Amino acid sequence: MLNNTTRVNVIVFGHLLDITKSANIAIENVSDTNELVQQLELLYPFTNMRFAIAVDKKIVNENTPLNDNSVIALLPPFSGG
Amino acid sequence: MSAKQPKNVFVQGPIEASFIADSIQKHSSQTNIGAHSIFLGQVRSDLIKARKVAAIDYTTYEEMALEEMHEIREAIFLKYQLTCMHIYHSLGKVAAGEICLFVFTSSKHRKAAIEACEETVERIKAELPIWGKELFEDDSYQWKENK
Repeated sequence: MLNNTTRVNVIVFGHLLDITKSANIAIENVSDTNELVQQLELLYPFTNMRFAIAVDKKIVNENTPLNDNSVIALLPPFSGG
Repeated sequence: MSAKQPKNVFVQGPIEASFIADSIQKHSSQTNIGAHSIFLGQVRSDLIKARKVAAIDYTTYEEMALEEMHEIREAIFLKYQLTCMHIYHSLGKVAAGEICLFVFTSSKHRKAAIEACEETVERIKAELPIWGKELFEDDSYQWKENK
Protein backbone atom coordinates (compact mmCIF):
# COMPACT_ATOMS: atom_id res chain seq x y z
CA MET A 1 0.00 0.00 0.00
CA LEU A 2 1.14 3.56 -0.66
CA ASN A 3 -0.02 5.01 2.63
CA ASN A 4 0.85 3.57 5.98
CA THR A 5 -2.64 3.77 7.47
CA THR A 6 -4.19 0.41 8.05
CA ARG A 7 -7.88 0.32 7.25
CA VAL A 8 -9.68 -2.91 7.96
CA ASN A 9 -13.22 -3.95 7.18
CA VAL A 10 -15.24 -5.58 9.90
CA ILE A 11 -18.37 -7.63 9.17
CA VAL A 12 -20.90 -7.87 11.97
CA PHE A 13 -23.44 -10.65 12.60
CA GLY A 14 -26.24 -11.75 14.92
CA HIS A 15 -27.11 -9.76 18.02
CA LEU A 16 -24.09 -7.47 17.54
CA LEU A 17 -25.99 -5.99 14.58
CA ASP A 18 -28.57 -4.66 17.06
CA ILE A 19 -25.76 -2.55 18.54
CA THR A 20 -23.76 -1.49 15.49
CA LYS A 21 -26.87 -1.04 13.26
CA SER A 22 -24.53 -1.70 10.37
CA ALA A 23 -23.20 -4.96 8.94
CA ASN A 24 -19.95 -3.35 7.73
CA ILE A 25 -17.64 -1.14 9.76
CA ALA A 26 -14.36 0.36 8.59
CA ILE A 27 -11.74 0.81 11.31
CA GLU A 28 -8.48 2.66 10.80
CA ASN A 29 -5.08 2.54 12.45
CA VAL A 30 -5.23 -0.86 14.05
CA SER A 31 -2.37 -3.32 13.69
CA ASP A 32 -3.78 -6.35 15.49
CA THR A 33 -7.03 -7.84 16.79
CA ASN A 34 -6.48 -6.55 20.35
CA GLU A 35 -6.25 -2.98 19.06
CA LEU A 36 -9.30 -3.59 16.90
CA VAL A 37 -11.39 -4.72 19.87
CA GLN A 38 -10.22 -1.67 21.88
CA GLN A 39 -11.32 0.61 19.03
CA LEU A 40 -14.67 -1.13 18.71
CA GLU A 41 -15.30 -0.86 22.44
CA LEU A 42 -14.76 2.90 22.20
CA LEU A 43 -17.29 3.13 19.41
CA TYR A 44 -19.96 0.69 20.62
CA PRO A 45 -21.28 -0.54 23.99
CA PHE A 46 -19.87 -4.04 23.57
CA THR A 47 -19.45 -4.63 27.29
CA ASN A 48 -20.70 -8.09 28.33
CA MET A 49 -21.14 -9.12 24.70
CA ARG A 50 -19.67 -12.47 23.85
CA PHE A 51 -18.25 -12.93 20.37
CA ALA A 52 -15.47 -14.69 18.52
CA ILE A 53 -13.28 -12.98 15.95
CA ALA A 54 -12.56 -14.47 12.55
CA VAL A 55 -9.67 -13.16 10.46
CA ASP A 56 -9.95 -14.23 6.83
CA LYS A 57 -12.69 -16.73 7.74
CA LYS A 58 -10.71 -18.47 10.50
CA ILE A 59 -11.51 -17.99 14.17
CA VAL A 60 -8.51 -16.61 16.05
CA ASN A 61 -7.99 -17.22 19.77
CA GLU A 62 -4.88 -15.10 20.22
CA ASN A 63 -3.92 -11.57 19.29
CA THR A 64 -3.44 -11.63 15.53
CA PRO A 65 -1.72 -9.08 13.27
CA LEU A 66 -3.95 -7.36 10.70
CA ASN A 67 -3.20 -5.80 7.36
CA ASP A 68 -5.12 -3.77 4.81
CA ASN A 69 -6.57 -6.83 3.17
CA SER A 70 -7.72 -8.58 6.33
CA VAL A 71 -11.38 -9.48 6.46
CA ILE A 72 -12.54 -9.48 10.05
CA ALA A 73 -15.84 -10.86 11.27
CA LEU A 74 -17.42 -10.54 14.70
CA LEU A 75 -19.24 -13.77 15.46
CA PRO A 76 -21.71 -14.04 18.35
CA PRO A 77 -22.47 -17.57 19.70
CA PHE A 78 -23.80 -19.72 16.85
CA SER A 79 -27.41 -20.87 16.73
CA GLY A 80 -27.83 -22.85 13.53
CA GLY A 81 -29.79 -26.07 13.12
CA MET B 1 -6.61 -26.81 1.09
CA SER B 2 -8.52 -29.06 -1.23
CA ALA B 3 -9.01 -27.90 -4.80
CA LYS B 4 -12.65 -28.95 -4.63
CA GLN B 5 -15.09 -26.02 -4.43
CA PRO B 6 -17.14 -25.99 -1.22
CA LYS B 7 -20.63 -27.30 -1.98
CA ASN B 8 -23.58 -25.06 -1.22
CA VAL B 9 -25.75 -26.24 1.68
CA PHE B 10 -28.10 -23.29 2.03
CA VAL B 11 -31.69 -23.10 0.86
CA GLN B 12 -33.95 -20.07 1.12
CA GLY B 13 -36.87 -20.69 3.48
CA PRO B 14 -38.11 -24.02 4.88
CA ILE B 15 -37.05 -27.46 3.60
CA GLU B 16 -40.16 -29.09 2.14
CA ALA B 17 -41.16 -32.68 3.01
CA SER B 18 -41.49 -33.38 -0.74
CA PHE B 19 -37.83 -32.34 -1.23
CA ILE B 20 -36.80 -34.81 1.48
CA ALA B 21 -38.91 -37.57 -0.13
CA ASP B 22 -37.31 -36.87 -3.52
CA SER B 23 -33.83 -37.04 -1.96
CA ILE B 24 -34.61 -40.50 -0.55
CA GLN B 25 -36.08 -41.65 -3.88
CA LYS B 26 -32.94 -40.59 -5.77
CA HIS B 27 -30.89 -43.15 -3.84
CA SER B 28 -32.89 -46.19 -5.04
CA SER B 29 -30.48 -46.71 -7.95
CA GLN B 30 -27.50 -46.97 -5.57
CA THR B 31 -27.98 -50.59 -4.58
CA ASN B 32 -24.69 -50.79 -2.65
CA ILE B 33 -26.38 -48.72 0.10
CA GLY B 34 -27.87 -50.71 2.97
CA ALA B 35 -28.69 -47.92 5.44
CA HIS B 36 -29.75 -44.28 5.49
CA SER B 37 -29.77 -42.04 8.51
CA ILE B 38 -31.73 -38.79 8.44
CA PHE B 39 -31.83 -35.92 10.88
CA LEU B 40 -34.48 -33.22 10.53
CA GLY B 41 -34.37 -30.06 12.60
CA GLN B 42 -37.79 -28.46 13.09
CA VAL B 43 -38.48 -24.94 14.37
CA ARG B 44 -39.95 -25.27 17.85
CA SER B 45 -42.56 -22.87 19.14
CA ASP B 46 -40.90 -22.12 22.49
CA LEU B 47 -42.74 -20.02 25.03
CA ILE B 48 -40.33 -17.38 26.37
CA LYS B 49 -41.62 -14.94 28.99
CA ALA B 50 -45.21 -15.45 27.81
CA ARG B 51 -44.21 -14.82 24.19
CA LYS B 52 -44.55 -17.61 21.63
CA VAL B 53 -41.95 -18.19 18.89
CA ALA B 54 -43.72 -17.87 15.52
CA ALA B 55 -40.66 -18.33 13.28
CA ILE B 56 -36.87 -18.23 13.17
CA ASP B 57 -35.04 -15.97 10.74
CA TYR B 58 -31.65 -17.53 9.87
CA THR B 59 -28.60 -15.60 8.68
CA THR B 60 -25.06 -16.81 8.05
CA TYR B 61 -21.54 -15.75 7.22
CA GLU B 62 -21.85 -17.75 4.02
CA GLU B 63 -18.24 -17.87 2.75
CA MET B 64 -16.97 -19.01 6.13
CA ALA B 65 -19.85 -21.44 6.73
CA LEU B 66 -19.31 -23.18 3.38
CA GLU B 67 -15.57 -23.54 4.04
CA GLU B 68 -16.22 -24.92 7.52
CA MET B 69 -18.87 -27.29 6.17
CA HIS B 70 -16.42 -28.50 3.53
CA GLU B 71 -13.89 -29.33 6.27
CA ILE B 72 -16.52 -31.11 8.36
CA ARG B 73 -17.61 -33.13 5.32
CA GLU B 74 -14.02 -34.19 4.55
CA ALA B 75 -13.41 -35.20 8.17
CA ILE B 76 -16.63 -37.22 8.35
CA PHE B 77 -15.82 -39.04 5.10
CA LEU B 78 -12.35 -39.89 6.45
CA LYS B 79 -13.78 -41.21 9.72
CA TYR B 80 -16.80 -43.19 8.49
CA GLN B 81 -17.39 -45.57 5.61
CA LEU B 82 -20.08 -43.51 3.91
CA THR B 83 -21.52 -43.89 0.45
CA CYS B 84 -22.81 -40.33 0.42
CA MET B 85 -23.90 -37.40 2.55
CA HIS B 86 -26.27 -34.53 1.83
CA ILE B 87 -26.76 -31.43 3.98
CA TYR B 88 -29.28 -28.61 3.67
CA HIS B 89 -29.76 -25.69 6.05
CA SER B 90 -32.40 -22.99 5.75
CA LEU B 91 -31.73 -19.27 5.52
CA GLY B 92 -34.36 -16.59 6.01
CA LYS B 93 -37.68 -17.15 7.67
CA VAL B 94 -38.80 -20.63 8.75
CA ALA B 95 -42.12 -20.86 10.61
CA ALA B 96 -42.67 -22.97 13.72
CA GLY B 97 -43.32 -26.56 12.65
CA GLU B 98 -41.29 -26.26 9.45
CA ILE B 99 -37.97 -28.00 8.73
CA CYS B 100 -34.76 -25.92 8.90
CA LEU B 101 -32.02 -28.61 8.80
CA PHE B 102 -31.77 -31.83 6.79
CA VAL B 103 -28.77 -34.13 7.21
CA PHE B 104 -28.81 -37.35 5.20
CA THR B 105 -26.06 -39.98 5.40
CA SER B 106 -25.93 -43.31 3.58
CA SER B 107 -23.68 -46.32 4.00
CA LYS B 108 -23.45 -50.07 3.45
CA HIS B 109 -24.24 -50.86 7.08
CA ARG B 110 -26.27 -48.91 9.62
CA LYS B 111 -23.65 -47.91 12.20
CA ALA B 112 -21.59 -45.68 9.91
CA ALA B 113 -24.69 -43.84 8.66
CA ILE B 114 -26.14 -43.33 12.17
CA GLU B 115 -22.89 -42.20 13.80
CA ALA B 116 -21.85 -39.97 10.90
CA CYS B 117 -25.27 -38.32 10.88
CA GLU B 118 -25.16 -37.58 14.60
CA GLU B 119 -21.61 -36.24 14.53
CA THR B 120 -22.37 -34.05 11.53
CA VAL B 121 -25.45 -32.53 13.21
CA GLU B 122 -23.45 -31.79 16.38
CA ARG B 123 -20.65 -30.17 14.40
CA ILE B 124 -23.07 -28.08 12.32
CA LYS B 125 -24.66 -26.71 15.49
CA ALA B 126 -21.33 -25.99 17.18
CA GLU B 127 -19.13 -24.84 14.31
CA LEU B 128 -21.11 -23.21 11.51
CA PRO B 129 -21.48 -19.42 11.71
CA ILE B 130 -25.27 -19.35 11.51
CA TRP B 131 -27.57 -17.25 13.68
CA GLY B 132 -31.26 -17.71 14.40
CA LYS B 133 -33.42 -14.77 15.33
CA GLU B 134 -36.53 -16.00 17.14
CA LEU B 135 -39.49 -13.97 15.96
CA PHE B 136 -42.36 -13.88 18.42
CA GLU B 137 -46.06 -13.67 17.63
CA ASP B 138 -46.16 -10.11 19.02
CA ASP B 139 -43.48 -8.96 16.49
CA SER B 140 -40.71 -8.74 19.13
CA TYR B 141 -37.62 -10.96 18.76
CA GLN B 142 -34.60 -12.41 20.50
CA TRP B 143 -31.38 -13.97 19.22
CA LYS B 144 -31.29 -17.71 19.77
CA GLU B 145 -28.30 -19.46 21.32
CA ASN B 146 -27.50 -23.16 20.90
CA LYS B 147 -27.31 -25.24 24.06
